[in-house]
Amino acid sequence: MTIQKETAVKIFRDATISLFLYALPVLLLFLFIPDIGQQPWRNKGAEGVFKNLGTWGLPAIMVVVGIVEFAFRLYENKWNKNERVLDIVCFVIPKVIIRPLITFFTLKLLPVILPGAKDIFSWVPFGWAFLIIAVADDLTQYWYHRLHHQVPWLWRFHRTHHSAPYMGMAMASRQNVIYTVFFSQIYLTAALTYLGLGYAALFVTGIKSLITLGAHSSIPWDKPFYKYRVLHPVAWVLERLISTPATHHAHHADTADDGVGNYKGNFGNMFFIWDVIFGTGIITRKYPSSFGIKHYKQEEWYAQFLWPVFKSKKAGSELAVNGPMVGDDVAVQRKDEWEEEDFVKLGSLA
Amino acid sequence: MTFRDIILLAKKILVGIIVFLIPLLIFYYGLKFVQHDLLPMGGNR
Repeated sequence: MTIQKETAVKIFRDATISLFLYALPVLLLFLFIPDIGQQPWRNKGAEGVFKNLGTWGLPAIMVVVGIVEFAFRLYENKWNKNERVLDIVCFVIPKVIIRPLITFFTLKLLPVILPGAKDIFSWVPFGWAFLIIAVADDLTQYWYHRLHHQVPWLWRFHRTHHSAPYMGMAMASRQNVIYTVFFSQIYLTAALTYLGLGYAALFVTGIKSLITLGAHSSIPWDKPFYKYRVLHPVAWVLERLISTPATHHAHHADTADDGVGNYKGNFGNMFFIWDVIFGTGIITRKYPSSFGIKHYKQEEWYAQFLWPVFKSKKAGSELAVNGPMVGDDVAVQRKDEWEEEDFVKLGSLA
Repeated sequence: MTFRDIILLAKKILVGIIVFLIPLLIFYYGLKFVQHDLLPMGGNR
Protein backbone atom coordinates (compact mmCIF):
# COMPACT_ATOMS: atom_id res chain seq x y z
CA MET A 1 0.00 0.00 0.00
CA THR A 2 1.46 3.38 -0.97
CA ILE A 3 0.73 6.88 0.17
CA GLN A 4 -2.02 8.69 -1.77
CA LYS A 5 -0.74 11.30 -4.23
CA GLU A 6 -2.94 14.06 -2.80
CA THR A 7 -1.65 13.34 0.73
CA ALA A 8 1.97 13.30 -0.50
CA VAL A 9 1.50 16.71 -2.17
CA LYS A 10 0.01 18.16 1.05
CA ILE A 11 2.87 16.72 3.14
CA PHE A 12 5.45 18.26 0.77
CA ARG A 13 3.67 21.66 0.78
CA ASP A 14 3.30 21.74 4.58
CA ALA A 15 6.89 20.52 5.13
CA THR A 16 8.11 23.43 3.00
CA ILE A 17 6.05 25.89 5.07
CA SER A 18 7.50 24.24 8.19
CA LEU A 19 11.05 25.13 7.13
CA PHE A 20 9.98 28.78 7.39
CA LEU A 21 8.20 28.16 10.71
CA TYR A 22 11.35 26.57 12.16
CA ALA A 23 13.45 29.53 10.99
CA LEU A 24 10.92 32.11 12.26
CA PRO A 25 12.14 32.30 15.91
CA VAL A 26 15.74 32.74 14.72
CA LEU A 27 14.63 35.44 12.24
CA LEU A 28 12.71 37.25 15.00
CA LEU A 29 15.74 36.98 17.28
CA PHE A 30 17.81 38.54 14.49
CA LEU A 31 15.34 41.44 14.19
CA PHE A 32 14.90 42.08 17.93
CA ILE A 33 18.34 41.31 19.23
CA PRO A 34 19.06 43.99 21.90
CA ASP A 35 18.06 42.10 25.04
CA ILE A 36 20.96 39.62 24.94
CA GLY A 37 21.79 38.31 28.38
CA GLN A 38 18.38 38.92 29.96
CA GLN A 39 16.79 35.98 31.74
CA PRO A 40 13.80 37.67 33.39
CA TRP A 41 12.03 34.47 34.48
CA ARG A 42 15.12 33.06 36.10
CA ASN A 43 14.36 32.49 39.76
CA LYS A 44 14.97 29.52 41.96
CA GLY A 45 11.31 28.90 42.86
CA ALA A 46 10.11 28.32 39.29
CA GLU A 47 13.30 26.45 38.39
CA GLY A 48 12.76 24.03 41.27
CA VAL A 49 9.15 23.39 40.26
CA PHE A 50 10.05 22.56 36.64
CA LYS A 51 13.09 20.44 37.67
CA ASN A 52 10.82 18.36 39.90
CA LEU A 53 8.23 18.15 37.12
CA GLY A 54 10.89 16.68 34.82
CA THR A 55 11.86 13.98 37.31
CA TRP A 56 9.15 12.67 39.67
CA GLY A 57 6.51 15.43 39.34
CA LEU A 58 4.76 14.40 36.12
CA PRO A 59 4.51 10.68 36.92
CA ALA A 60 3.11 11.69 40.34
CA ILE A 61 0.52 14.01 38.71
CA MET A 62 -0.43 11.22 36.28
CA VAL A 63 -0.95 8.72 39.10
CA VAL A 64 -3.06 11.15 41.18
CA VAL A 65 -5.24 12.28 38.21
CA GLY A 66 -5.50 8.64 37.08
CA ILE A 67 -6.82 7.63 40.52
CA VAL A 68 -9.40 10.47 40.37
CA GLU A 69 -10.49 9.36 36.85
CA PHE A 70 -10.76 5.76 38.04
CA ALA A 71 -12.71 6.75 41.17
CA PHE A 72 -15.24 8.61 39.03
CA ARG A 73 -15.55 5.56 36.72
CA LEU A 74 -14.38 7.53 33.71
CA TYR A 75 -12.95 4.39 32.09
CA GLU A 76 -16.48 2.92 31.84
CA ASN A 77 -15.31 -0.60 32.77
CA LYS A 78 -13.30 -0.83 29.52
CA TRP A 79 -10.00 -1.15 31.42
CA ASN A 80 -9.76 -4.94 31.25
CA LYS A 81 -6.69 -7.02 32.13
CA ASN A 82 -5.04 -6.79 28.70
CA GLU A 83 -5.50 -2.98 28.56
CA ARG A 84 -4.30 -2.61 32.16
CA VAL A 85 -1.07 -4.56 31.57
CA LEU A 86 -0.39 -2.65 28.33
CA ASP A 87 -1.00 0.77 29.94
CA ILE A 88 1.17 0.00 32.98
CA VAL A 89 4.03 -1.44 30.87
CA CYS A 90 3.88 1.64 28.59
CA PHE A 91 3.93 3.92 31.65
CA VAL A 92 6.90 2.25 33.35
CA ILE A 93 9.25 0.82 30.68
CA PRO A 94 9.87 3.98 28.58
CA LYS A 95 10.83 5.86 31.77
CA VAL A 96 13.49 3.21 32.36
CA ILE A 97 14.69 3.10 28.71
CA ILE A 98 14.27 6.66 27.40
CA ARG A 99 16.06 8.57 30.17
CA PRO A 100 19.32 6.55 29.92
CA LEU A 101 19.09 6.77 26.09
CA ILE A 102 18.80 10.57 26.13
CA THR A 103 21.58 10.82 28.72
CA PHE A 104 23.81 8.65 26.51
CA PHE A 105 22.87 10.70 23.43
CA THR A 106 23.52 14.03 25.18
CA LEU A 107 26.70 13.14 27.09
CA LYS A 108 28.42 10.67 24.76
CA LEU A 109 27.17 11.00 21.17
CA LEU A 110 26.66 14.76 20.80
CA PRO A 111 30.27 15.70 21.76
CA VAL A 112 31.35 13.36 18.93
CA ILE A 113 28.77 14.63 16.39
CA LEU A 114 29.15 18.33 17.35
CA PRO A 115 32.64 18.63 18.91
CA GLY A 116 33.28 21.89 20.75
CA ALA A 117 29.67 23.01 20.40
CA LYS A 118 28.63 22.55 24.03
CA ASP A 119 26.79 25.66 25.30
CA ILE A 120 27.75 27.74 22.24
CA PHE A 121 24.25 29.27 22.17
CA SER A 122 24.00 29.96 25.90
CA TRP A 123 24.01 33.69 24.98
CA VAL A 124 20.45 33.38 23.55
CA PRO A 125 18.09 35.27 25.90
CA PHE A 126 15.65 33.11 27.85
CA GLY A 127 12.51 34.33 26.06
CA TRP A 128 13.96 33.59 22.62
CA ALA A 129 15.36 30.25 23.75
CA PHE A 130 11.89 29.41 25.09
CA LEU A 131 10.32 30.26 21.71
CA ILE A 132 12.97 28.28 19.79
CA ILE A 133 12.57 25.17 21.97
CA ALA A 134 8.75 25.43 21.89
CA VAL A 135 8.71 25.55 18.07
CA ALA A 136 11.52 22.98 17.70
CA ASP A 137 10.04 20.43 20.05
CA ASP A 138 6.35 20.75 19.25
CA LEU A 139 6.48 21.28 15.47
CA THR A 140 8.82 18.29 15.22
CA GLN A 141 6.40 16.19 17.27
CA TYR A 142 3.52 17.40 15.06
CA TRP A 143 5.39 16.10 11.98
CA TYR A 144 6.45 12.85 13.63
CA HIS A 145 2.83 12.28 14.69
CA ARG A 146 1.24 13.35 11.39
CA LEU A 147 3.55 11.14 9.31
CA HIS A 148 2.59 8.12 11.44
CA HIS A 149 -1.05 8.79 10.54
CA GLN A 150 -0.64 9.71 6.88
CA VAL A 151 2.12 7.36 5.71
CA PRO A 152 0.46 3.90 5.67
CA TRP A 153 3.57 1.85 6.54
CA LEU A 154 4.24 4.01 9.63
CA TRP A 155 0.72 3.68 11.09
CA ARG A 156 1.26 0.39 12.95
CA PHE A 157 4.05 1.96 15.06
CA HIS A 158 1.50 4.48 16.40
CA ARG A 159 -1.61 2.30 16.43
CA THR A 160 -1.13 1.25 20.09
CA HIS A 161 -1.81 4.83 21.23
CA HIS A 162 -5.14 4.81 19.39
CA SER A 163 -6.33 1.33 20.27
CA ALA A 164 -7.47 2.37 23.77
CA PRO A 165 -11.28 2.49 23.84
CA TYR A 166 -11.11 5.15 26.59
CA MET A 167 -9.30 8.41 27.35
CA GLY A 168 -7.36 9.25 30.49
CA MET A 169 -4.02 9.12 32.27
CA ALA A 170 -3.97 5.35 31.83
CA MET A 171 -3.55 5.62 28.06
CA ALA A 172 -1.61 8.91 27.86
CA SER A 173 1.78 7.11 27.76
CA ARG A 174 0.47 4.13 25.78
CA GLN A 175 2.77 3.75 22.76
CA ASN A 176 4.62 1.06 20.85
CA VAL A 177 8.18 1.00 22.25
CA ILE A 178 9.76 1.71 18.83
CA TYR A 179 7.56 4.78 18.35
CA THR A 180 8.73 6.01 21.78
CA VAL A 181 12.44 5.25 21.38
CA PHE A 182 12.67 7.08 18.04
CA PHE A 183 10.64 10.16 19.06
CA SER A 184 12.51 12.77 16.98
CA GLN A 185 11.68 15.75 19.18
CA ILE A 186 13.28 14.37 22.36
CA TYR A 187 16.63 14.07 20.58
CA LEU A 188 16.21 17.52 19.01
CA THR A 189 15.50 19.07 22.41
CA ALA A 190 18.44 17.13 23.91
CA ALA A 191 20.70 18.48 21.12
CA LEU A 192 19.50 22.06 21.69
CA THR A 193 20.07 21.55 25.43
CA TYR A 194 23.66 20.51 24.65
CA LEU A 195 24.03 23.64 22.51
CA GLY A 196 23.07 25.83 25.48
CA LEU A 197 19.27 26.14 25.46
CA GLY A 198 18.75 23.66 28.30
CA TYR A 199 17.29 26.12 30.80
CA ALA A 200 14.45 27.05 28.41
CA ALA A 201 13.97 23.35 27.54
CA LEU A 202 13.32 22.63 31.21
CA PHE A 203 10.35 25.04 31.19
CA VAL A 204 9.01 24.14 27.73
CA THR A 205 9.00 20.39 28.33
CA GLY A 206 7.31 20.89 31.72
CA ILE A 207 4.54 23.11 30.29
CA LYS A 208 4.15 20.85 27.26
CA SER A 209 3.75 17.75 29.42
CA LEU A 210 1.03 19.44 31.50
CA ILE A 211 -0.88 20.52 28.36
CA THR A 212 -0.64 17.11 26.64
CA LEU A 213 -1.62 15.25 29.82
CA GLY A 214 -4.57 17.62 30.24
CA ALA A 215 -5.61 17.00 26.62
CA HIS A 216 -5.63 13.22 27.18
CA SER A 217 -7.43 13.36 30.53
CA SER A 218 -11.00 12.17 30.76
CA ILE A 219 -11.64 15.16 33.04
CA PRO A 220 -12.96 17.81 30.60
CA TRP A 221 -11.26 20.85 32.17
CA ASP A 222 -12.13 22.95 29.09
CA LYS A 223 -15.92 22.54 29.49
CA PRO A 224 -16.48 25.70 31.60
CA PHE A 225 -14.85 27.78 28.84
CA TYR A 226 -17.57 26.63 26.40
CA LYS A 227 -20.41 26.78 28.93
CA TYR A 228 -20.12 30.35 30.21
CA ARG A 229 -20.55 33.09 27.61
CA VAL A 230 -18.13 35.40 29.42
CA LEU A 231 -15.35 32.83 28.89
CA HIS A 232 -16.04 32.31 25.17
CA PRO A 233 -13.30 34.73 23.99
CA VAL A 234 -10.77 32.83 26.14
CA ALA A 235 -12.07 29.54 24.71
CA TRP A 236 -11.68 30.88 21.15
CA VAL A 237 -7.99 31.65 21.73
CA LEU A 238 -7.33 28.53 23.81
CA GLU A 239 -8.76 26.01 21.33
CA ARG A 240 -6.72 27.50 18.49
CA LEU A 241 -3.50 27.80 20.47
CA ILE A 242 -3.21 24.58 22.49
CA SER A 243 -4.61 21.04 22.48
CA THR A 244 -7.72 20.85 24.65
CA PRO A 245 -9.59 17.72 25.77
CA ALA A 246 -12.29 18.50 23.15
CA THR A 247 -9.93 18.77 20.15
CA HIS A 248 -7.61 15.98 21.26
CA HIS A 249 -10.42 13.61 22.23
CA ALA A 250 -11.75 14.20 18.69
CA HIS A 251 -8.38 12.89 17.43
CA HIS A 252 -8.94 9.69 19.46
CA ALA A 253 -12.55 9.18 18.30
CA ASP A 254 -13.32 5.88 16.58
CA THR A 255 -15.43 7.57 13.91
CA ALA A 256 -15.60 10.85 12.02
CA ASP A 257 -19.24 10.27 11.02
CA ASP A 258 -20.67 12.09 14.05
CA GLY A 259 -19.19 15.46 13.02
CA VAL A 260 -17.15 15.56 16.24
CA GLY A 261 -14.41 12.96 15.67
CA ASN A 262 -11.39 13.81 13.52
CA TYR A 263 -9.03 10.87 13.82
CA LYS A 264 -7.42 11.78 10.49
CA GLY A 265 -6.42 15.21 11.82
CA ASN A 266 -5.92 17.23 15.04
CA PHE A 267 -2.29 16.10 15.22
CA GLY A 268 -1.05 18.92 17.49
CA ASN A 269 0.42 18.00 20.86
CA MET A 270 1.16 21.13 22.92
CA PHE A 271 0.11 23.63 20.23
CA PHE A 272 -3.01 23.20 18.13
CA ILE A 273 -1.91 26.11 15.98
CA TRP A 274 0.02 23.77 13.64
CA ASP A 275 -3.29 22.11 12.71
CA VAL A 276 -4.82 25.56 12.09
CA ILE A 277 -1.89 26.58 9.84
CA PHE A 278 -1.79 23.33 7.86
CA GLY A 279 -5.56 22.80 7.71
CA THR A 280 -5.43 19.43 9.47
CA GLY A 281 -7.58 20.48 12.42
CA ILE A 282 -11.27 20.52 13.23
CA ILE A 283 -12.18 22.62 16.26
CA THR A 284 -15.00 21.13 18.27
CA ARG A 285 -16.57 21.93 21.63
CA LYS A 286 -18.22 18.52 21.91
CA TYR A 287 -16.68 15.23 23.00
CA PRO A 288 -16.87 12.00 20.98
CA SER A 289 -19.12 9.30 22.40
CA SER A 290 -16.63 6.49 21.76
CA PHE A 291 -12.86 6.18 21.39
CA GLY A 292 -10.32 3.83 19.85
CA ILE A 293 -10.29 2.16 16.44
CA LYS A 294 -13.24 0.40 14.83
CA HIS A 295 -11.15 -2.58 13.73
CA TYR A 296 -9.57 -3.13 17.18
CA LYS A 297 -9.19 -6.83 17.97
CA GLN A 298 -7.92 -6.44 21.54
CA GLU A 299 -4.50 -7.61 20.42
CA GLU A 300 -2.18 -9.06 23.07
CA TRP A 301 -0.40 -6.37 25.13
CA TYR A 302 3.07 -7.66 24.13
CA ALA A 303 2.22 -7.44 20.42
CA GLN A 304 0.93 -3.88 20.82
CA PHE A 305 3.99 -2.84 22.83
CA LEU A 306 6.69 -4.68 20.86
CA TRP A 307 5.40 -5.01 17.27
CA PRO A 308 7.06 -5.92 14.86
CA VAL A 309 9.37 -7.93 17.14
CA PHE A 310 6.34 -9.82 18.49
CA LYS A 311 3.21 -10.29 16.38
CA SER A 312 -0.43 -10.74 17.33
CA LYS A 313 -2.10 -14.12 17.00
CA LYS A 314 -5.49 -12.49 16.27
CA ALA A 315 -6.54 -13.30 12.72
CA GLY A 316 -6.92 -10.28 10.44
CA SER A 317 -5.18 -7.96 12.91
CA GLU A 318 -2.91 -5.19 11.61
CA LEU A 319 -0.31 -6.56 14.04
CA ALA A 320 -0.60 -10.20 12.89
CA VAL A 321 1.77 -11.91 10.45
CA ASN A 322 0.64 -10.81 6.97
CA GLY A 323 -1.98 -8.56 8.57
CA PRO A 324 -3.29 -5.50 6.68
CA MET A 325 -1.14 -2.36 6.85
CA VAL A 326 -4.15 -0.15 7.66
CA GLY A 327 -7.26 -1.96 8.91
CA ASP A 328 -9.43 1.07 8.19
CA ASP A 329 -8.73 0.80 4.45
CA VAL A 330 -9.65 -2.90 4.47
CA ALA A 331 -12.97 -2.00 6.10
CA VAL A 332 -13.60 0.75 3.53
CA GLN A 333 -12.55 -1.54 0.68
CA ARG A 334 -14.90 -4.28 1.92
CA LYS A 335 -17.73 -1.74 2.23
CA ASP A 336 -17.09 -0.62 -1.36
CA GLU A 337 -17.08 -4.26 -2.52
CA TRP A 338 -20.35 -4.90 -0.67
CA GLU A 339 -21.91 -1.81 -2.20
CA GLU A 340 -20.72 -2.93 -5.65
CA GLU A 341 -22.11 -6.44 -5.05
CA ASP A 342 -25.42 -4.96 -3.88
CA PHE A 343 -25.52 -2.79 -7.00
CA VAL A 344 -24.94 -5.84 -9.23
CA LYS A 345 -27.63 -7.79 -7.32
CA LEU A 346 -30.08 -4.89 -7.66
CA GLY A 347 -29.22 -4.65 -11.37
CA SER A 348 -29.91 -8.36 -11.90
CA LEU A 349 -33.19 -8.06 -9.99
CA ALA A 350 -34.27 -5.21 -12.22
CA MET B 1 10.77 -10.82 12.99
CA THR B 2 11.30 -11.08 9.26
CA PHE B 3 13.67 -9.40 6.81
CA ARG B 4 10.73 -7.20 5.71
CA ASP B 5 10.28 -6.08 9.32
CA ILE B 6 13.97 -5.15 9.54
CA ILE B 7 13.67 -3.06 6.35
CA LEU B 8 10.52 -1.44 7.76
CA LEU B 9 12.36 -0.60 10.99
CA ALA B 10 15.31 0.84 9.05
CA LYS B 11 12.94 3.03 6.99
CA LYS B 12 11.17 4.14 10.17
CA ILE B 13 14.48 5.06 11.86
CA LEU B 14 15.51 6.99 8.71
CA VAL B 15 12.27 9.02 8.84
CA GLY B 16 12.98 9.76 12.53
CA ILE B 17 16.52 10.92 11.74
CA ILE B 18 15.34 13.22 8.90
CA VAL B 19 12.59 14.74 11.09
CA PHE B 20 15.24 15.34 13.79
CA LEU B 21 18.05 16.54 11.53
CA ILE B 22 16.26 19.17 9.38
CA PRO B 23 15.16 21.43 12.28
CA LEU B 24 18.48 20.87 14.08
CA LEU B 25 20.41 22.13 11.04
CA ILE B 26 18.06 25.14 10.65
CA PHE B 27 18.54 26.15 14.31
CA TYR B 28 22.26 25.38 14.38
CA TYR B 29 23.20 27.35 11.28
CA GLY B 30 20.57 30.07 11.93
CA LEU B 31 21.90 30.77 15.43
CA LYS B 32 25.53 30.46 14.23
CA PHE B 33 24.76 33.13 11.62
CA VAL B 34 23.24 35.46 14.22
CA GLN B 35 26.11 34.81 16.65
CA HIS B 36 29.05 35.32 14.32
CA ASP B 37 27.81 37.95 11.91
CA LEU B 38 25.64 40.13 14.10
CA LEU B 39 26.77 39.96 17.71
CA PRO B 40 29.88 41.79 18.86
CA MET B 41 32.65 39.34 19.89
CA GLY B 42 30.69 36.45 18.44
CA GLY B 43 28.07 36.71 21.14
CA ASN B 44 30.51 36.42 24.06
CA ARG B 45 29.36 39.32 26.18
